[in-house]
Amino acid sequence: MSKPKIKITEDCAELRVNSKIYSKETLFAVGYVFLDKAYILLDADKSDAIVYLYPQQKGTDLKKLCLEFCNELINYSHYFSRIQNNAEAIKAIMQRALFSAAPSLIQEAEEKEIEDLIKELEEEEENEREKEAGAEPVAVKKRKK
Amino acid sequence: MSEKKKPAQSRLPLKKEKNSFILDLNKGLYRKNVVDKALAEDKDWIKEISKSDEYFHLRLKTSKIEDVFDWMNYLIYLHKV
Repeated sequence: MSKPKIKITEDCAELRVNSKIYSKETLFAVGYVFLDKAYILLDADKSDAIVYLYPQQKGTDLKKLCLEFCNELINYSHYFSRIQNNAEAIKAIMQRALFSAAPSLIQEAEEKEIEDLIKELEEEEENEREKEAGAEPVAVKKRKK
Repeated sequence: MSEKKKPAQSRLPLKKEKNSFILDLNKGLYRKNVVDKALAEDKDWIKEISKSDEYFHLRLKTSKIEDVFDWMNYLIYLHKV
């Protein structure tokens, strides 16, 4: 049987979180949100991250605090995964915004793109030449026959 | 008769000693550069007592647990910023 995820002791609450589901960036982000509500200490045990929450105010409901922490974990992990999924779109929007603010950047970007294309073409040509050079002896043999 | 197995107790990373606290910070979670920065700022009352692969073992020379708590939260703040 798996261990209980929330354990309330006399002075703190212990919350076990699967670190395969929630990254440490998410843990620290949520910890940051809770800085004014609790004192936070993190630890790890096998595949779990352990969050120790020490309340700042006397009489705080520790279970409620843990559950709020869990909700915030979902909130932040969703936020991070959304950023990851939309990274390309965000990049494109940022580029457009930059280009509209400074049109000279468009020219620079275009020039760079053209340079890259030329390089690519040159490499392709070189590869073809190498292939042809490698195939020549075979062609010569065939002609001799 | 079979004996009931006690659930494994987790080891608290914060322990009280006479006039000081021992704090174990997991190296998989707490970044070395951040811990080093915080240690350098508070080197007069916080020292790394021993080295291990898994933990930063720190001694915080204070009798007030609030000082330790504040420092723990400062670490969280540094990791986020």
